[in-house]
Formats: sequence, C-alpha cells, structure tokens
Amino acid sequence: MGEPALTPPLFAIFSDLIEKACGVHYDAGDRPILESKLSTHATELGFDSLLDYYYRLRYDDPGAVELHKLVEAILVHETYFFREYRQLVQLCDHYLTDLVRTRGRARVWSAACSTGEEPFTLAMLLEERGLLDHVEIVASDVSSDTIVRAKAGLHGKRALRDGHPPEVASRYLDAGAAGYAVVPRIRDAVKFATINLLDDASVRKLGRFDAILCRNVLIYFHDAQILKVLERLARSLEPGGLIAVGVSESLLRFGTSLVCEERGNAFFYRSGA
Amino acid sequence: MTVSRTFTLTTAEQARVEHIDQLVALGPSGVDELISTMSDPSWTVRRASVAALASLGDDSVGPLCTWLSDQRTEEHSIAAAVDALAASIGKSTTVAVMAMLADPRPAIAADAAQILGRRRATEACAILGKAISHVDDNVAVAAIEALGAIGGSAAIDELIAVMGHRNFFRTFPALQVLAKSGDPRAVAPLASLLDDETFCFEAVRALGRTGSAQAIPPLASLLPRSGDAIVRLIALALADLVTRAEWIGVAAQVVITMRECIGPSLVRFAAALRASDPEERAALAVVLGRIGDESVIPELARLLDDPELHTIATEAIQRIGELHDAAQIAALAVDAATRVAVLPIVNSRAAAASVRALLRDENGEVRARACEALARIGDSASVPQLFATLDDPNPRVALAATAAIQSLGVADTAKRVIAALQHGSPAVRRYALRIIAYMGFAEAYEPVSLAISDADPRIAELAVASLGAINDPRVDGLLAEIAVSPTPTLRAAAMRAAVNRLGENAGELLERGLADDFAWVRYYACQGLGRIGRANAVEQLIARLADATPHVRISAIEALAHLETAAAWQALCSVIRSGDPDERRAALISVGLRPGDAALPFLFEALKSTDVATRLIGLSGLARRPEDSALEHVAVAALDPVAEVRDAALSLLGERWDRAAAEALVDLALACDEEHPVHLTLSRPGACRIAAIAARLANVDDRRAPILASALARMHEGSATTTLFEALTLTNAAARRAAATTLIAMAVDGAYKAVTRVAREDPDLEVRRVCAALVAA
Repeated sequence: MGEPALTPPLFAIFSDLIEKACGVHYDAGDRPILESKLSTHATELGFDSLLDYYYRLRYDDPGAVELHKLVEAILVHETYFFREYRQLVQLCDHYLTDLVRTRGRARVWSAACSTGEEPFTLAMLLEERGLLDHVEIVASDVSSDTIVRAKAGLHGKRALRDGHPPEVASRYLDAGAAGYAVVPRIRDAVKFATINLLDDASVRKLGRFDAILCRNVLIYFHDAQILKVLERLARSLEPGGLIAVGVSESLLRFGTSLVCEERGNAFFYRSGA
Repeated sequence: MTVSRTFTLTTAEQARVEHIDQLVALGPSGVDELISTMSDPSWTVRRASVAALASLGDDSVGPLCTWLSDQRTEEHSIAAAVDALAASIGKSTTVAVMAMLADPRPAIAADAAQILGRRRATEACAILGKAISHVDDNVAVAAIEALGAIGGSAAIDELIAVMGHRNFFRTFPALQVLAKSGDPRAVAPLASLLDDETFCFEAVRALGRTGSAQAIPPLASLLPRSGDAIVRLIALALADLVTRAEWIGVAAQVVITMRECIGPSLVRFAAALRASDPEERAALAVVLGRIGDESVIPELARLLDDPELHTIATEAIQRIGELHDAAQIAALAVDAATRVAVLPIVNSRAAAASVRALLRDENGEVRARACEALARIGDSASVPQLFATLDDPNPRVALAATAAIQSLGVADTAKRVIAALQHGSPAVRRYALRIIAYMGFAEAYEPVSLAISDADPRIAELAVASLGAINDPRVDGLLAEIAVSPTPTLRAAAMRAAVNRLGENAGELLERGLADDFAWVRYYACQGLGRIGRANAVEQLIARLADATPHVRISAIEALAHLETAAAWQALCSVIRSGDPDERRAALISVGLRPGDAALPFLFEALKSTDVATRLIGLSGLARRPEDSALEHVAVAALDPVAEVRDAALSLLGERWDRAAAEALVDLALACDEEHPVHLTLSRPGACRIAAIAARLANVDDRRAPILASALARMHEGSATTTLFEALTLTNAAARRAAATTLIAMAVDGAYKAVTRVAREDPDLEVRRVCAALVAA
C-alpha cells in the first residue's frame, strides 16, 4: 500500500469541501501540502484511496465528525509569542489605554488565536500597563484541539523566537526543558472558545468588542470568504472599534466601510458606524 | 458594508445601450450619432459606445480621427475616442493614426502615439522613433511609452540618444523601454547613468531588468560605496536580472558572472539581510542562493520563520545545498526550520549518517523528511532505524518511515516486518501490515492470518486487506470465509483484498459482495469488479446504479468505465446528467476513459462547467486523444482563469509529442504574457517543439522572435541550440537578431565565431549592428 495520491480533480473537490467547512482556501500551489496532510489522515483511517475517503466524508459521516477531525488535522497552527509585537503595543498605548481611562473597561477578541500565543501576548502587555483587570480578552479558534492546548498555556520552544522583548517574556513565561509555561495570572486572564468564523450565529453570541485581532488569518481565505468574514467582524465591533490584521494583509482592496488609520506606527481598520 | 462591484444599468442607461446597438446595425450612417454617445454621462454607456465604434472598423476610423483632431470637446470623450481607435478592427486604422502623429498640435500627436502603442503597431516604430525627439515633452514621452508597449528593439538609437540628453521627463521612460528591449546596445547607456545621482536608482533597477550578464560589472562597480543601502539596491536589481535571465534561458551564464563580480562581497550581502525590508530581503535571498555557500545558510535560515519569505529562503538554501555536499551537511546542523528546508534535496551518501541522526529530531517534520531523504539516498543501512521509527507518535513520521522501508526493500525486510507484527504498539502493527500489503511477502501468511483476530479492529481490517497481496494458495479460501464474516468491516476488507487476486474465485467473491447488506462491501465489490474487468458482471453493476447508497452508485459508475460493453456505455450516458455532482463527475471520468469520438461531446461540455473539478475531469478525458477538436479544446483550456485547469491543460499539451500540440503551444506562447506558464511548457525539450519553433521563427516579428529564441535556450539541449545556430541563416532578420543575441548570452561554443561572421556578412544593416555590439561586449 503506497500513500494515496491527490490528483488535480480530487484536489479541486477536497479543497471545495474544506473551504465550505472552515473557510480555508487552497491554491493550486498548495496541492503538495494538502496531499501530505490528507494522505496521512486518510491512511490513518485505513483508506488506500483519497476518493474512497472523500465518499466517506460526503456520504457516510453523520454529524460531520470525520470532516471536523480532518479540519483539525490540516489547519495551520503557526504562531508565536510577540508576533508582530509593535502592532499590539500600539493597540495598547494608542487605544486601549484611553478607552479604559474614559470608559473603565474594554473588550478585545483574538478571532483566530490558534494555541493562544497572541491573546497571551496581549494580556502580558496589558499587565505591564496595569490594565489587565480592566480588559476582557476573548480568544477563539475553529479548532477545538488547539483551544484545549491554548487553555493549558504550555508551549513549545518555537513559541518564542528572535525579536521578542526578553524582559517581558521572562516575567510571564516560565522556561522549561520542553518549552514555556504561561504564568497563571496571564493564562487565566483569557477566555477561550471554539468559534468558526463562517458561523454567523456563533460569532453573534460573543457580543461586541472594542478591538478584534484577526491577524495572519485572512491570508488563508479566498476573497469572497474574506468579505463575509469581514462583514461579521465589523458587525461585532463597537462603534469606532478597531480591527487589526497582519502586517502583510490589507483590506483596502475589498472596499469595505472600515477606515484604515495609523495609530503610532501601526495600521488598524476602524468601524465607521 | 461593501461597495458593490457590479455595474447594474438603470432603465435609462439600458435604453441608451440598446440604441447604440441599433446604431451599430446601421453601419456607416450610424457613426456620427455613435460618436456623439462618447459624451454620455454614464461610464457604462460610454464603454458600449467605445466597443461599438471599435467594432465598426474602417467605417468609424475617419470620423473618429477627424473628431479627435478637430473637436475634442471634453476629456472623457477624448479618452473614449482614443480607446475606440486603440481597439478598432479597421485595416486602415494604423495608417490613419500614423498620419495624426505628424499633427503640429502636441495634444493630438501625443494621443496618436498612445493609440499606436496600445495597438502594438510595429509598422509605426520608425515614426515613433522620430517622435522621441519631438520638441514637446508630452509627445516624446508618449512615443517612448508607445515603443515600450510595442516591444522589441525598434528605434534603439533614438532611445539611446535620450540617455545622452538626460532630459528629466524623457530619460525615465526611455530607460525603462531600453531595459526591456533585449538589445545588447542598451546596457552601456544605462550604465552611463549610474554616476548621475538623479538617475542612478532607476538605472540600477533598469540594468537588472535587462537580464544581461553585461549589466553585472557596472552594478558591481557601485559596491565600493559604503553602507548597506547600495547593497540592498543592487540586490533588488540582481534578483530582477536573475529572473529575466531565467526567462531568456541564460541564468547559468549570469550566475557565473555574478559569482565573479559579486562573490567577493558575499559577506556584505549576507549582513544586509538584517536591516532590510521584506522586498529587499527576498532579493538578497535570491542573490545569496545563487552565489552563496554554507557560510550564508544561518543568515538565510532566519528568513524561514517569515511566511512571506519562507519559500524564497527555502529555495535559496536548497540551491546552495544542491551545489555543495558540505553545505547540505552544514545546513542540517543549523536548526529545525533549516533542516526542514534542506532535507528534500539531500541526495548525497556523505550526508546519510547526519540524516539518520535526525530520525530522533524533536521536530516531527524533520523526522518525516529524514525518512524520505534516507529513501532517496538509498541508505539501506538505515532500515533498522526506520523500523524503530514506526513507533513514532507522529503518524506523518511513521508513514514516511513505512514508505522508506518499502522503497529500500532490503533482504531482511520480511523478517523484520513479521517481527513488527508482534510489536506491543497497535500503530506499529498497522504500519507493518501496510508494508506487507505493498511488498506481499509469502512468508507473512501465517502471522497476517493471526492478525485478523487482533483486538484492534483497524488492524484486523488491514490484515484482511493485506492478504490480497500475499502469494499463498490458502488466501482465496480464507477470503471466502471472511466474506461471510459477521463483521461488516471485515467483509468490506475482503472485497478490497479480492481485487488483487487473480482467477474466478475473486470474481465470484466480488459478485456475491454486491448483494451484501453493508454499503461499503457493495462499494468495494463494485470497485473490484471494475478493476478486474469482469464483463459478465455488467448487468449486476447496472442494477447497482439504483442502489440506495450514493457512494455505491458512484462506485458502480466507476466500475462500468472499465467494462467496454454497449450496455455499460448506455448506462454511463444515462447518469452523466445526474443531479448529484459526484455521480456526474464519476460518469464523466468513466466516459472519458472510453476510446473513440462518442465521448467528445460530453468532455467538451464538461470544459464549460462552472465546477473546477468537472473541467479538470473533462480535460483528463481529452488526454492522448488524436482528434483535432480535442487538441483545440485543450489549448483553449490553457487560458482558463483557474490555475489548476490552466496547468492541467498545459501539462497535457506538454506531454504530447506531436507537431500539432507543439504548434498549439507556440501559438499560446506568442499570445500570452511572459508570466504565463505556457513558456515553461514550450521550453521542455522535444523534437516536435523544436521543429515547431524553428518553423515559426521563419516569419515571426521583432517582438516575438526573442520569445521563441528564449524557449529554445531554456531547453538546454543540443538540438535546440543547433536550431538557434540555424536561425542565423534564416531570411527573417528578426529571427537572426534574436538568435544571435541569445547565442551570445548563452556563451555556447561557436557562438562568438558565428555571430562575428553575421556581424560582418549579414545583408541587414541592423542585424550587423546588433551582432557587432554583441561581439564587442
């Protein structure tokens, strides 16, 4: 038994199935990556053919249990502490600080937090500024497995990379042989939830936020899907609230009602309504 | 919250567009009124007006030129008139617009130049060349830009003259056009701008766009300047230069020159990575990948964490590793990300020990890639460790180890795999069964039979499925017993195993499976009957088309594809328009497997589907079909907006070895821009493609000849190079110029001598001048 192959037609039907399930879009150039992930997963389930596996997902998967497992297996969980750090600093110093001063409280949502490094980093920065008790941090991801890992607050060595502020990291991350443990004060400050950004009802249940972090997520989505997600995120913003996307992402080409603005040295998208 | 991107017509706009359609139908008598619609306040209506005037061809050219010369009422109408003339299908359009270029009023002459450029009017190059020295800057710039749009190296002397005058407005566009001209005479004037602070930056970038090795020494001459900024700027130019040289087919020669000129500054280029922006880092990585050695790998490795630079950094590390075994081994010691990057290209036995050590790396992807590398190296000494790796907690690693063991296939594999069947870990036992299923060891019959009773149901299923590969006379009897087992999944596994058995027993077993209660038994029974080609099962399979379970119906459809009977064909045709997309696609695949032209209408229809998978299946059905219409449809699919479809079509064209397919590729290459992947397909070596290119070189123009010459150069193959030499004697001067330029850039044996002779003896003055410049450089 060799590894099952992902032919171009199979790639097309699988990528369509996955995009409908979680929004992640695969381009033609991603076929080897998807093939590797799919064939590992299908082989583990005992399939020699990806087409047999596809029919299992399509016609013999009550409750979409296997499809959910597949999505869990193929999602990219690449993140690390202090990633695009400057933007988070600017968010704290040029927005959340003022908000807490004037309103007493603020809410922030890390909308695709993976294993939690992003919301934990934000919590560290807020703690440094004495704001942590005044800001509610909600963090979500489509993958329930990663949310379980995020809640544990235990991270591998690659979760901390070059360019991080060592003094902040050392205060809130306990280094061990296997990696880093987030200190309880920071770990407990983040509320985690499993949310699919394509699921309107789940997103609505979270309520409104003053800031939404949706960084390095939209790069995995197709334009039509991005527009839908942005629409949902914009509806979840308080008037004047901010959305932060990754430094290599731009929403300008989508012509949304969000206004791009610079705060400090970082860019955010502000809700006009 | 989003701005609508669709342009919905109001009722009034719709009426005006319909009136335009009526005016078009009137022919010449409707032109004057049509021209008046160019001033319509609605952009959409004006677009309709432009399209209408352009489609009228010669009937509208005169009135449009007159309007543009004498009326010019408002800006948006002028723009519409220019657009209409640029798109006009009239035979007289270019000549009429060329006359406008002589108009003493600069605005009109500038519009004329723009129109000629957009029409890519090669016959206008001479007068556009003269317009470069027009007293009015706007006309001169429009002429320069028009020559750039037309392409080729027309008016090269006039463009070079602009460099000498250093007129701020004219020099910038002129240097861009020169850079893309592909003319060997362009490099020196561009290099002459490097000492002028006003133009230096743009001149550096322009030198990069030439793709010429001759541009490298002038760029390197800037390196004595201090600071990282100049290094980063040169890196940007060199990255462009390499990309362009790859396209021309002369990257190897460019890299040699880069190593000579830039190599001594390698440390500065590596150091510049740290303070660069992403675009500069990407360029530096390209340069370091071409000229670097193991010393720069740690710096490149730092880029691997950046998603935007990961691919470029990986390529750079791999390039260095491919050149030096020592670099491969050194890279394996850097960090996990670098190991992941370099392991796919490790192919040296010298690296085997280092790779074996990585089977214990803490990173799962490193361990998996180490398994793959050991298989590639052919390191049979690693088999014991690979067996130990079957116990890896990461399934990707264990599967890679399984594949490596299968690939290496050493003498004691059977003994080891049978021992692995007794392993305490269920996962190891499963991987062992997969190896048995692949390699089919006869001595494994007994232990595999025992494994059917394993408490782990997945192991039991795999054991049954593995039986199919074992050459032992007891297998058929055992499968027959399992086929009536009370466990449905074991019965399904028996059907999977039966596919690999020969003889009547297997066929009968599979036929009985069609009536099983469990859908997956029926599914695999259908599949098996198709694969063993059991023609007398056709009626039973047709009956399964009405099965209550969708995937059984689909499996029956797929099975019928393998049974070439009239009844099977009729059945397939009946389900090809099923309401279920999977059934439709399965039927289409099946129809596509049938020889003969009866399948063609279904396949052609599939190519028009909005569903990408259906288009891909339609294409795969057209593979290797001899009909001209099949080739035409594949060629059209090569222009599909979806990359998967386009690439599949090109792949089909590239796999064909007939002249018709090669000519289709040439047509596509000449019609598509340089980024289109058709150029890569055309440059796959092959006698049919070389012959098709050679034939087209005989009558191709100055803009297109370099496209074909480059395709030959990218083949890196003797007969393709011979064709380039032969092109030096063609009657077509454009082909001779392109061939001479390409041969000198390739620096192949005999090129200098041959081009020197052309420089001396060619009947065409311009060819002699180009060749003289090539020889001098």
